Amino acid sequence: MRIEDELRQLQTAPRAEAWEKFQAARAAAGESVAEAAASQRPVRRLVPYWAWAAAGVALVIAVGGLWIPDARQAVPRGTESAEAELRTAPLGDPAPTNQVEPLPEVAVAAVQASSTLQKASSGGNKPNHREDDLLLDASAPLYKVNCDGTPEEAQSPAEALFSHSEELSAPFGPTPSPEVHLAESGAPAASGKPFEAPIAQKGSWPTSSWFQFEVALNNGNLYDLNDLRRSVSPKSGHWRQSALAFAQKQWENLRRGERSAAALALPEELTVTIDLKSAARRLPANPFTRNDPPKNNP
Amino acid sequence: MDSFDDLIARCLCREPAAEKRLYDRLAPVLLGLCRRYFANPEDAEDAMIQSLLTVFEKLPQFRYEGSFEGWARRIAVHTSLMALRKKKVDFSSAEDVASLEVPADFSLDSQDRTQAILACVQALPEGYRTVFNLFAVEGYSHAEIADALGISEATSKSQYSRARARLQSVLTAKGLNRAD
Repeated sequence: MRIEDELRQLQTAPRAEAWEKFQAARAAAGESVAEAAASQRPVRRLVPYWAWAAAGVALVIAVGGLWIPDARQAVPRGTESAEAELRTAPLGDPAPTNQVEPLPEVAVAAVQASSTLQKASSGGNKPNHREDDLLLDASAPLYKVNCDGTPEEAQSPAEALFSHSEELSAPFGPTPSPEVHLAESGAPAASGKPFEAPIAQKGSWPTSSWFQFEVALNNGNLYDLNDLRRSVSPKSGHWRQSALAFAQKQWENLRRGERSAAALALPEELTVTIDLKSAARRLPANPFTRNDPPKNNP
Repeated sequence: MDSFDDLIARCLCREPAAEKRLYDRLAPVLLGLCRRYFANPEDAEDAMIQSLLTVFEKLPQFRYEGSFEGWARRIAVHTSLMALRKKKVDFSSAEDVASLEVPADFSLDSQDRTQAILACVQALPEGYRTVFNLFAVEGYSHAEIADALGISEATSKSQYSRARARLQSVLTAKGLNRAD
């Protein structure tokens, strides 16, 4: 046997104290085999991944649950029949399907709504260069949309406000959100309290172009909250329904104290005002929802 | 005798009897290894205990892909090298072979052959001894030794050749060099 092999096979019995020394060192290190094994097992290593995955799923569900109702109310998708109904509605009629009464204290002024079609200076044959301006007069009349003062009617304000045709309310489904109770065909809402918010409307609903509306509370004083503004497409045919539903939701949130109740003093009487004045803001045209033929089309 | 696999499984279940049994099987092997690296028996025992601590700590990481004893021996080698580094051993020092001293009480009558060879190895300077152990006994290449000790490969080769020459002369003088 080679010397190297003899050295390799050399074994030396340790002293008896070595075991005690070893145990003391292990106790001092505070390390146990089982604990080390547990920390290295695949199940234990996967725990953080599971935790992260569960947290991610919960976050997605929570965000989705908050966003989807608003998104449904804000930008509904329309149907051809709804668009046709909108085209037949006269310009300046704020609510074709509701009873609209001008407020006696507010003088009814003409709403100047104009839709300006402009072509791009460089070339007018580019369809995407079309810009739509919806200009509403700042002194637009304040319409009160059947919120109160209609005792002779058997319908509740909510029923009157949301008595749209099924064609219009179909994309929303029976109950788009817990706060918005859309009654179809004049029937009362299936559940929940009726819409109590007095709604005022400034400006008139446009019949073309995109527009932006703001929901104001407390008799027209707009709260500076970004999500009180929504852009909707009138071509979808559900712009009015969407705006009203959104206004109702914001109003109920404020009444329940879920929205800026701590920062803003809650007024005694609330009036939801749908302000169309902000529609003067230019909004980009959405080529996917337009039915206009391309300009270079003969 | 229990197999290493069975002992490992029982040690992972925190069975004290299995831990003691595994210690009893590994300690002589690792102590014999450490004694080749340290002339002082206490230093060797400390290195052995530290190696066993590492083995028990890293036991869950054993992949059953090779010999468990070989795995433990590599841990012991690494632990011994770490201990030598802490002692600031100069592995590249070229000490005069004439300074090597064989223990005076060395005799074939009192020691068996392997222990006599071990005593000769322990008499080598630390630099020689470490390179000799790593290359001749553990089977590391000079490149690996150079990387592990922080020396050049040429230094590792020269250290080994000097250690081997000195060891051969001593063992021949003692009548122990019956192999090559």
